[in-house]
Amino acid sequence: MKKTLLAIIAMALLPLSMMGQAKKPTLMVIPADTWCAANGYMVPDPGDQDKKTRVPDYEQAILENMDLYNVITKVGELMSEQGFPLKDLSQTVKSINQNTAEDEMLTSRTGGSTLAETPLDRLLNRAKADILIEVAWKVNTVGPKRSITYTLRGLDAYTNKQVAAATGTGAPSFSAELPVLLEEAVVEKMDGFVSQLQDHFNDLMENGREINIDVRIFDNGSGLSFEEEYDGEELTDIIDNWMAENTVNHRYNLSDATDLVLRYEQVRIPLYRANGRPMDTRQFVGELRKYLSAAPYSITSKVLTKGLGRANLILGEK
Amino acid sequence: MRKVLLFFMFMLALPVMADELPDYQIEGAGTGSQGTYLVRISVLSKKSKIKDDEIGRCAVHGVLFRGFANKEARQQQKPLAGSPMVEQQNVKFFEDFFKEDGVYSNYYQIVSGSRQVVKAGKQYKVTGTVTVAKDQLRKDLQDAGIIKGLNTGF
Repeated sequence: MKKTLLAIIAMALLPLSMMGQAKKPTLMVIPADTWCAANGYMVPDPGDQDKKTRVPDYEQAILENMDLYNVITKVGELMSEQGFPLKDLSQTVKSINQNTAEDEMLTSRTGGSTLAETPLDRLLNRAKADILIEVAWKVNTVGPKRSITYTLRGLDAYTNKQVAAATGTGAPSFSAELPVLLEEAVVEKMDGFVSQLQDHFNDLMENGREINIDVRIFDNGSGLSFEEEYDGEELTDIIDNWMAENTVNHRYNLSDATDLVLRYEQVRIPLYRANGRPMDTRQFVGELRKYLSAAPYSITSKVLTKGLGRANLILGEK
Repeated sequence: MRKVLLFFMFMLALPVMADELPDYQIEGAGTGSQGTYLVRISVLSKKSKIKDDEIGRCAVHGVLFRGFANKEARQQQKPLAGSPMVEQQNVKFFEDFFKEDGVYSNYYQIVSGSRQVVKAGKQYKVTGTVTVAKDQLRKDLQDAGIIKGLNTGF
């Protein structure tokens, strides 16, 4: 009897313990676009037919620039000491190359449309990093003295907002070698950066993750619009009520509402689903899709995500 | 009778007075090796002889609750504890932490030969450069639940 009671208590406590195991945000260090441009690591965008747009070539930068490799390794080492091991840029780049053939097959199967992905989109989709840490530096020379201007910037991959930054110019030196100056700069700036990152994580825990959602309607002649009424309530209000019920502390902003488009910004989604598993943009919008597909609405819709923090829910057909 | 009462009150206040931090200033002294801060502490005192321990205690306190800067070395660090309020929120913990020969003494080392004494008016300014093991200090305070780590909640 006692054993059965203990087993029941243990089973009851299990979901609680699982809820406590929150998913850690993942971080990855990449060179900033300005650094890539200054060091000749920009290439024409393969997706741009006019070849006017230039995008960073991370693979070449990692292969050829030892200073970049050292900086990324040092930032990784310092973050590991804080209990946050980073996603490795060079390994992610390798994994992207291995999967290129797979992507091409996927493109042809979905009807010939090309995969319009920049190298950064590919990185984000493959690594699923929540925070991108951009690094850049510049060597300043005045006579025999050299100093380093160093910038570290944490960007939320969901919203592209800057969530942490550290920048500054180190003390000039006559004799120190560049790798030593760089290491000093990384070590010196890391604490301030981590402190700001901490504030961002506290905000995430308290107010949820921020995403953007566009709800649109397929122009397929069905006549569906957001002014359509169900039991006397317009579809706009039905979706808006769902947002209010399912966002953290009802925090979201309906920035644009027409009869064919609803644009939601600063939507705060919970970090976890009801079953304790991590929530992401696709799953959150998928919940809205399920809600609208049920009676009395019975609206077919399709979820399209762009990056980690933006999704389109398109009503009317799959 | 009154004298006896005053004597007892003095004796009761003595431990608190002994643990009080002296008037001090903190500034950066360049980039320390990984996991440490290098700071310069200046203690203002009526005595020219101040124990190394007192300078070390000020260094650990300053790193935790004041932060430091140095214009020449272009250096600026925020307080390790995040805010000076942390000290007031954990009064008992830090009273024990900073008491004479308390736990703080594990986190500092005076740079040998860095000590200087300068007479400033009726007071002495005793200066010393100190290495503070900030990574270990932060880790131990996180383990004790006094300050939050990046990992807290995940």
